[in-house]
Amino acid sequence: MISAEEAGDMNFIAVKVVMMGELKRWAGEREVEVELPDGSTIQMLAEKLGVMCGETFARNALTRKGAFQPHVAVFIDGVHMGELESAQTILRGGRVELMLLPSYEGG
Amino acid sequence: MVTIVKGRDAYTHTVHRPGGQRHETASSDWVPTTCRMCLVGCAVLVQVEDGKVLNVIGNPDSPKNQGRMCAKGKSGIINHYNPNRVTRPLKRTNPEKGIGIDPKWQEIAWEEAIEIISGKMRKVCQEDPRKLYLQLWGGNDLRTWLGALGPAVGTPYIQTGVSPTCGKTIHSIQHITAGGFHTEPDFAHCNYLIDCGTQMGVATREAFNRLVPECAKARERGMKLVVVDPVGNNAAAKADEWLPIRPGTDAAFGLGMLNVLLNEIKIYDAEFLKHHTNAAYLLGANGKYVRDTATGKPLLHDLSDGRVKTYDDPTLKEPALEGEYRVQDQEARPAFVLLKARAAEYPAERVEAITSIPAKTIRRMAREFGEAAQVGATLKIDGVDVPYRPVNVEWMRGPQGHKHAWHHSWSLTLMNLVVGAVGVVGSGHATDVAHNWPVRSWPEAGEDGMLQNRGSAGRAVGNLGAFPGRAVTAPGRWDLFELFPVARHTRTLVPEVFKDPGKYGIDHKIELLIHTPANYVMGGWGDTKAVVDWYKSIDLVVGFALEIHETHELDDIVLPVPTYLEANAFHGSHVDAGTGDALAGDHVGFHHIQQAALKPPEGVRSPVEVMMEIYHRAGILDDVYLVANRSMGLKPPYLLEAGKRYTEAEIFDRHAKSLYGEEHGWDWFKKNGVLVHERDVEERYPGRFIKARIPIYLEHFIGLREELQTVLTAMGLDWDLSDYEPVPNWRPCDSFEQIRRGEIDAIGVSYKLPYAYGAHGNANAWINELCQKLPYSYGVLINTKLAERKGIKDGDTIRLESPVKSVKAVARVTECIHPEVIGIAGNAGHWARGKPLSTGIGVNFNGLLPFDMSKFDVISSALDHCIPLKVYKA
Repeated sequence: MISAEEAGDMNFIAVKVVMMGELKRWAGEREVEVELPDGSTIQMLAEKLGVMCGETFARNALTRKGAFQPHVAVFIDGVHMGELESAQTILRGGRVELMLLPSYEGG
Repeated sequence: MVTIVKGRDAYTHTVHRPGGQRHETASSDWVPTTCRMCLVGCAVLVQVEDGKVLNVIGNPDSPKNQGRMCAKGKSGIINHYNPNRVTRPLKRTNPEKGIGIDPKWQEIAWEEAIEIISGKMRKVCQEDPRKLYLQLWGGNDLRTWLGALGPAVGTPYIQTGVSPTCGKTIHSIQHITAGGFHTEPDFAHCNYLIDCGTQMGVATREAFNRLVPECAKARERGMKLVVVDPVGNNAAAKADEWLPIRPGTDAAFGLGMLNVLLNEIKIYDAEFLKHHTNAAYLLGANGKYVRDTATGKPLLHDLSDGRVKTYDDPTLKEPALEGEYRVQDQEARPAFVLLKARAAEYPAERVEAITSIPAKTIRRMAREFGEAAQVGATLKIDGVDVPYRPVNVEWMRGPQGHKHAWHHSWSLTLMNLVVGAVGVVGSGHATDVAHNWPVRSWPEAGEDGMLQNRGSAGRAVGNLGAFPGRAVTAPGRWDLFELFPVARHTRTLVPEVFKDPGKYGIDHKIELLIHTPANYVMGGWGDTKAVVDWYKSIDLVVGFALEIHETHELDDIVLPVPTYLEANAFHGSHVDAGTGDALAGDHVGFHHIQQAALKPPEGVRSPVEVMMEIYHRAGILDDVYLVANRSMGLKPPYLLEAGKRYTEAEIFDRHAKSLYGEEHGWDWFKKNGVLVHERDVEERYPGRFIKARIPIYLEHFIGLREELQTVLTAMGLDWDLSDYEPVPNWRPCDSFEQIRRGEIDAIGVSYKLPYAYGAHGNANAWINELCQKLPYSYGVLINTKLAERKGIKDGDTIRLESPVKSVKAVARVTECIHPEVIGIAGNAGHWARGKPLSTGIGVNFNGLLPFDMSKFDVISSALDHCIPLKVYKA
C-alpha cells in the first residue's frame, strides 16, 4: 500500500472493470471503477479488487496470495492477458473484463 | 495438396497424400468435414451423389488422422439414415416420469418450443442463474454456445462431459505438470510405453486413428509396450507384456516402481529435479516450505556455496536434493527426501501382495524403464538440443475410477517426472501446451515459481489445475465444488446431494436443464434410480436429440439436431476455441472444420441458431456475444456487435478471419477443409522451454486439508481427509477389502471397445453387427478359475448382483481377465423405446455402481468404479 504522501505525487489511471457471470454475483455489481497509480499491473488490480469487492469475491476469484485464480480470464481492452505480459501487464486505463471460465472435462 | 500457411517455408506442399480439397464432379461431390461419432473429431471426406451418402473416408490432409478412420466413423452413415431419428420438436404430454414410462410425445412447432424454453431461460437468469444446469458433451459449436452461458449469465453448472471418471484427475494433473489439457506420447521417438488402465496407441484416446498406426510403427522399430490392466483387452493383445493388476491398486504399483528407481537402482534425472521441479525446496518439520522471511519465497540449499537461497536466486547453481540443513532455527530437508521415504514404504514384495504383480517383475520393469529413459541424453531437433527421454507411463480411465483416484494417478505421474520424461523428445506430452501461432499462448509460473497458468489458452476453458487450489467454503452448489479445492469438476456428486440437500445447505432448485444428445442418464453416474430421481425434480428438461435414448425419456422438450453429415462447426478437432491443434511432437499444427455434406430434413434447424434465438428472447444475447468475442479471440472488424443477429456461417467467417487472416475465411475452409502450419521446436517439445517448476511434492495439500477440516467441522460433516498429503500413498477401495474377506466373488470393472462409443453405440445397425460378431462385446468376461468355482461355462447366462442392481449377462470365460474381476465392455443394456435395436442387449455398467458419499474420492470427487459383485449361474 502507498502512503497518502506518496499518493500525492502520483499520477493515477482509471480502469473500468466488467465482472461477468458469477463474478458479478460475488462482487455485487457488474461494473467497478478502479483508480490505480500510473504503472500499475494486473496483479495490482487484483489486489485492489480484493479489497474493494469484498470477502466473497476475494475468496472465490483470487488466490490466497491475491492473484487472479487461473480460471479467471482477464481481458484488457479485449486482449487476453496471456497474449500480453500476463499478471505483469501494465495498465493504461481503459476496460478490463473478468470472466469466470467453466471447466472442460472430456468425454 | 495442403497449403502450409505459416512457417519458415510457407509453401504449397503435399504433406501426406493428395485428395483433401473439395472435388465436385458432375456425378458426385467429396466434401471435407469432421466425423462426430466420438470425441476425437477426425477429418473425413464425404462422398455425396444425388443427396445421398455413398462413402465416408478419412481426409489425408489432416495431421489428426492422416486419411484413416474407424468403424464408428463409417457407421455414421447409418446414424444418418436411422429410421428412429427425431426430426420435429417434441413435447412430453405425460407428466409422470421414470424408467420405462412412456413420455407420450406430441410434435410441436419450433415457435412453441422456443417460446417455452425462452420463457424459462428469462426467468432463471433474472431470478438466480444457478437454477440453470447445462450438459454439453459433444464436439460441435453447440457446446461453445451453451458453455458461454457460464461466464455470460453466471450459472456454475456447466457439465462438459458424461462419464463419472473422465477428467477427474488427468486434467488437474496435466495442467500443473505439463502445462496442457490431456496427454499423449511422442510415438515418433518413444521406446518404452506403459499403459495403465488405458489402451493408448491401440484402441482408444484422442487422435487414435493417427496414434494407433504410429504406435504400431514404434513397436515395429522396437518400442516395448507394457499393459497394466485387470482386463486383457485390445491393448494387452498387442503388448509385449500384459500385467493383470488387481483393481484399485495402481498407487501401490506406481510407488513400488518409484522405490526401485529412487532407492534401489537410483535412476532419476537429478538435474531436472533440481532445476525444473520443487524437489529441492526445503521443508520444515510440519511438511511445509521453509520460506524467506522477507519475500515469503521457498528456500533451497545451494551446495555450490553452502548458502540457503530462494528458488529464483540468480546465483543458485547446485540445489541440494538430499541432506538435512539448519534453516531459520529448524531442521529442514529437501522435498525429494520425503518422496524417497514414502517410496521406501513400498518394497516390491509388499507391492506384489497388494497388486498381484510379482515382485521380480516390478523390479525388472522399473530397471527397464529407468534404463530406457536415457537420463542425460539429448537429441537435436531443428538444430536445437532437446532432452531425450523416450519413456512414458500413460494412465487414464483405470486409475481415475477409484475411491483414491488422486493417489493412483499421482504415483503414476511421478514415474515420468522423476526421470524427467515430460514434454521432451520421446516422452509423454500434454496436449495443447504451447502455441506461437495463430495466437501466442504459453504456460506460465505462478506462486512459488510453480507451473500455474496456461497463458492465453484459457479463454474458453477454465484452467482448473491442482495448484494453487481454490478457497474452501461452505458449499452453495449442488456439486459441492467448494469442498473440493483442487478438483477439475465435481458434478458427479449432484444426484447424491439431491438425496439430502439440506445436509449441505443447498438453497436453490435446478429449474431448467438443457442437454446435448449424449446419454447422461446411462453413462454419467452410478445407481440409475438416484440419477432418475434428480432428473424428475427439474421443472423443464430440454434435450437436443438424434433419437430418443434413455436420457431423452426424461425430457420435457426434445429438439432435433442435424447428424454430423448435416452439421457445421468452425472447430472440427479442438476443444478450446482460442488456439490451434497439434499432436505431441508433430512438426505441423492444424485446424479443420465441420461442414454439412447433406441438407438436414425439413424441420431440423441449426442448434446454434436456435440457441441464439432463445438467448435473444431471454434478453441475454448481448452478454453471450461479449463472451463469444473474447473466448473465440474475435478481433475488429469481426467482433459480434450488440443488438445485431448473425447466421452460423457469418460467425464462422468472423472467427476464421480473426484467427487466420482475411484470406482464410469460412469459404476458404469450406473449400480446403484443413489448414496446416509449421511449428517451432519449442512448440513441439515445450518441456524445458517453459519457465516454471513442476511439483513432485504437493505442499499446498497440507494447508488445504487444514482449511477443509475447519469448514467440514463447522458443517458437522465427518470426512476422512487423510488423502490430502503431499506425497502419494495407497489405500484400498471397499471392494478390495470385501474380496479379501471373501464377502464378494469378484470386482466389476468396465473397459472400452474400439468400435463402440457412448450414445453412438450399439443402437447403430453396423456397430450392433460388429458387437454381435465379436462375442466379447455383449458378454461379460469371467476368468476360467472363477468360472470353474461357480460352475459356469462359456455362453452360460449368469446373474451379477451389485449392492444397487441385479442383472443377467452372458458369460464369456477367458484367461484374459484377472481372476478376481468381471469385465463389462462398452455402454450397452439399453431400455429406451427409441432405440429398439439395442434394447435389452448387454449390460449397463454404470447402473451397477454403488452411489453414495463413501464411494467418492475426497480430492478429485471421482466415483469408485470397483463394483462389488456376487456372481451366480442363472
